[in-house]
Formats: sequence, C-alpha cells, structure tokens
Amino acid sequence: MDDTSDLRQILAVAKYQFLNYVRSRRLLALAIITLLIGVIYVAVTAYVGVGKESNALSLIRNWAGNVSFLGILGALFFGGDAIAGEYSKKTGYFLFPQPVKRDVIIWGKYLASYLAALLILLLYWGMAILHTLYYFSEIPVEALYSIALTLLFLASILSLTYLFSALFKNGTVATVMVAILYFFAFSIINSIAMFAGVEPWFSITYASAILTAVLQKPYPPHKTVIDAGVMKVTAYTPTLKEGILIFLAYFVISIALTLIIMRYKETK
Amino acid sequence: MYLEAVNLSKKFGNFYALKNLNLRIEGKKCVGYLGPNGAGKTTTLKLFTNLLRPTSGSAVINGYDVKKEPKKALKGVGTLIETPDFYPYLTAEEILSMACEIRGASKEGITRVLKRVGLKEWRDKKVGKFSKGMKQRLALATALVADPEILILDEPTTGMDPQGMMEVREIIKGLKKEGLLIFMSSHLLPEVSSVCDEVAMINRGELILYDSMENVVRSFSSKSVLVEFLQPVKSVKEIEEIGGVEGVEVLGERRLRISFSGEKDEQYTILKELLERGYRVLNYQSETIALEEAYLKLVGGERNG
Repeated sequence: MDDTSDLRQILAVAKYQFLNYVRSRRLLALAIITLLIGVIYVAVTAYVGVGKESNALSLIRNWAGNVSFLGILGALFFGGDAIAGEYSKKTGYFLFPQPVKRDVIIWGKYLASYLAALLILLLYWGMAILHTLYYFSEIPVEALYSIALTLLFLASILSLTYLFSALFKNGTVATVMVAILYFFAFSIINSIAMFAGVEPWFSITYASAILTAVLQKPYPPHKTVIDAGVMKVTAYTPTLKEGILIFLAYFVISIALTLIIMRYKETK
Repeated sequence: MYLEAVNLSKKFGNFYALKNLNLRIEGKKCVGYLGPNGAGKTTTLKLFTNLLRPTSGSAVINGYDVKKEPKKALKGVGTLIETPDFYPYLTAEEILSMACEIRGASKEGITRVLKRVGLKEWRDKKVGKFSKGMKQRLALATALVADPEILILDEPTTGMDPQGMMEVREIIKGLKKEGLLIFMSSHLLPEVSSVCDEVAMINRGELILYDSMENVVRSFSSKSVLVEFLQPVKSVKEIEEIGGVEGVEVLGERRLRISFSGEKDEQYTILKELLERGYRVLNYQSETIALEEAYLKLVGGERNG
C-alpha cells in the first residue's frame, strides 16, 4: 500500500483522534455514567429480585432499553463537535492544509468517534451479559442480534450528528442542537405521529425500537390499536427490515451530505 | 518548485478580499508578503493551503491546482497559517507523528525538528498545557517535520517573545540556505528585510509590488543622511554648497539631515568633503529603511481592516 494512500491517511487521522478521545475527560465521564446506570440496575434487581416469569430474554431486554439513550450520548460526546470543533478550536488550521482530501479527514474522524462511542456501548452490553449470565447462566441468541443492531444504530446516529456538526461552526452550538433534536424534537414528532395515526418511519429514534423489539418473542406486531376510552391510539413498532432500512438511510444520506458540505466549507 | 496565483480572486459577499492576483514565485528563496491589515495576505495564503476556495482563478503549486488536487499540490508543502491549535490530549511528539503518518513521511526527523524549534524538552507533554508561543513553535515544527521543499508561513513570529522571534528568524534564514522556497507574510518590516530575498506587497486585495529586495532598496532608499557632529555646526550654507547636496535641515545645533542626489558614491563623497572641511563627524547614517519607505509610499499608511 502506498504510504499516502487514502486508507493509510484515514487510519492515521483515526488513530490520533481516537487517542485524543481515550485520554479525554469526556470518555471518562461517559464511562462513569454508563457504569452508574449499570450499577443502579444491578442493585435494583438484587433488591427486588427476579420474578418467576422472568427469563434471560426479558432481563437482557430491560438492559437493552437504555442502549439507544447511551448510543445518542456517545454520538453527542464524540460527534457533536467533531467537525465544528475543527473550526471553533482552530485545530483545522493544522489538519486541513495537510496533503489529504477532506473526505479522508471526515472518514478518519468518523472512525475514531465510532470506536470511542462503541467502547461505551460495549461496556454497557458487557455488564448486561454478565448480569444475565449470573441469574440465568445463558445468553439468548437474540441478544447478539440486538448487539449487531446497536452497531448499525450507532453508525446512523453518529452520521446524523456529524451532519449537524458540519453545518455549524461552533462545537458547543452543534452539540446542543443535536441534543435538542434527539431528546425533544424526535420524541415530540413520534408522539404527534402516533396520535395522528401516522407511522413515524422518518424518525431514527422510532427505528431504534427494533433494538428491544428483537428481544421479544414473538416479535411485536407492526400496528397495535389501543382503545383509550374516548379515543383510539394507534401504536407502531417498526418491523426489523424497516428499522434496518431507516438506519441505513440515515447513515448513507447524512454521511453523503456531510462529505459534500465539507468539500465546500471554508476556514475563514 | 513554484507557487503561482493565476487571476486569483476571493470574494466575501460583495467584498473582494483578493482581486485578480497574478504572482509566480519560483526557486530557492524567501519571499516576504507585505500589506496592511485586511489587505488580503492571509486570504492569499489560505487559498494556497486549501483553507479557502477561490471565487475565480487558481492557486497552483508545482503544477497542481490546490482546489482540484489538494493532495498532490500540498505534498511537499509545509504550512503555518495563523496560530493553529492541536488536539489537547496529544503530546508534541504525537502531533508530529500524526503529521508524518498523514504525509507518509519518516518519523526520524521528529527529534531534530523539536530541537530546532526549542521544544525538545516538551516532547512528552500534552499540547493542551502549551502557551500560545509554544503552540506557534509546534506549528512551525509540524510545517518542517516532513522535510518540505516549500514553506508557506503566515506571520510566523506571532505570539512570540522577542527571543522567540529572533530564533524563528534564524530558523527561516537557515531553511533558506538549505534551499527551500519560503513564502512568508508579515507586517513586521524589519523581519522581512532581514530574512527575505524578494518582497511582494498587496493592498486592498491587489498586488502593488513584486521585486527583489535589492531593487526595492535601490528604488526606494531614502536619499538623505542623518549627521551628528562633535561640535556645533558653524555654517549650514557651507554644507549646502558641497557637490550633490540638495538640501540641509537643521535638527539641532549638532544634528543635520542632508538630502542629496545620486547613489552610494555621492553619499560617500559628501562625508569625505565634510571631513576635509574640518567637520568632526560622530555619526553618519542613512535615515530610514528602504522597505519602510517603499511600504509607506505604496500603501500610503492606509488601514484596510
């Protein structure tokens, strides 16, 4: 391989960006948050006990309920200012004049952000697996599907975060905007859509329901009408195929737009 | 090796930061790029380093258009634009390793470069703890670490103390001797005159001068000398009668400014004549730096920014 091939340059950017993340306080902070969630969950389970109807699948499903939240946090922590920070913190003055394509820089940084966020999710899944093994001495195969879907979810949510980071010039503003989008805007949109009886297929947080749905036997129905007395509410659960397609669409469209923006974005 | 701006323009909204710049810099030399604040110096350098995209025209390095082929164009180019920051949790050595790996260059030069910029003792320290001056030194090291043939430097002594400024100037002089092409912006005229072989001046986004330092000195040298005498001057009229003297301005009873026509020979003849007529001269020197004279004449003391 050529010493300055795009792949080598992607790996070089990723290596040092990842090293910077690993040593940063933000990785430590997120690891502590993750451990706290895990410890609280283990403590509560130990205090309340595991019900007779419980099994390995239901226990690990409860754990999986927090994965999308942690995935979003990981994307915010490691992607929110990944691009905007190059402009606001002036690190771009070092990186952008190097003999390297902008696409290569973005892919290198994306890889580093992905790996850093993945460390957190693996820490969480590790706790979930150990906890399940402790009570039931088995890990259902569906847990592996959920972990695999977690990898895809992280790729898409991080890709969307990168898009926002490319749109803004200030890292903090970019991070806050993405946090508002994930924690408020998407939730509101999902609720309104459900009330209106419309399936929110355009929402990535709606699609993230497949992370837990895959741990249900049988897989929940796509459409459920709930009779709430005066009115009927239609609840949707994405099908596995649909969820994966939404993840893929978010990943491809967001990263493509990010690359286009970065080709034209200037360091004024 | 060369840098060439071909009808290079950059517009921000309705404002032309750079207008139809045509400039070719070639060979082993140091070219100073001068102009008042907001004249377009940094804009030019950013266009050559892929930080900005031209509105029209092109910035070409060694035959490659920076916008179209940044990887090829910037391959042998070391850059220092403004004062860059670095990833705070990496050490100075890791930052230089990163630059080497991106450029596919050997890491053997890291220690040498760190020593050259005075950061050898700080090689294992995280960059987040560095002062602005140290970051500027590190930025210079990143520009040098892959042994570039061309250096693009934007006010390289910014943020440094006088000692640091002097050291950086010595480094640049050394690099010039090693055969690099250096294109360096500055608003410090003594810096440019002591380091550079050629000078380009820009104002309001347009090139107003590009010539060798020698020619600039010849064209713009102030043809006056400041003379200091041991004793009070007896007769100004007598001095005005010396051949070549065009005028005498009395600055004090022992100090005169003598304007003259001609070149260095005439300047010497006037001194010789003064001594022969019994004047005891303590000091006899050209009044101003030629570059400063040229700058003030061409830019006219304007401030654009």
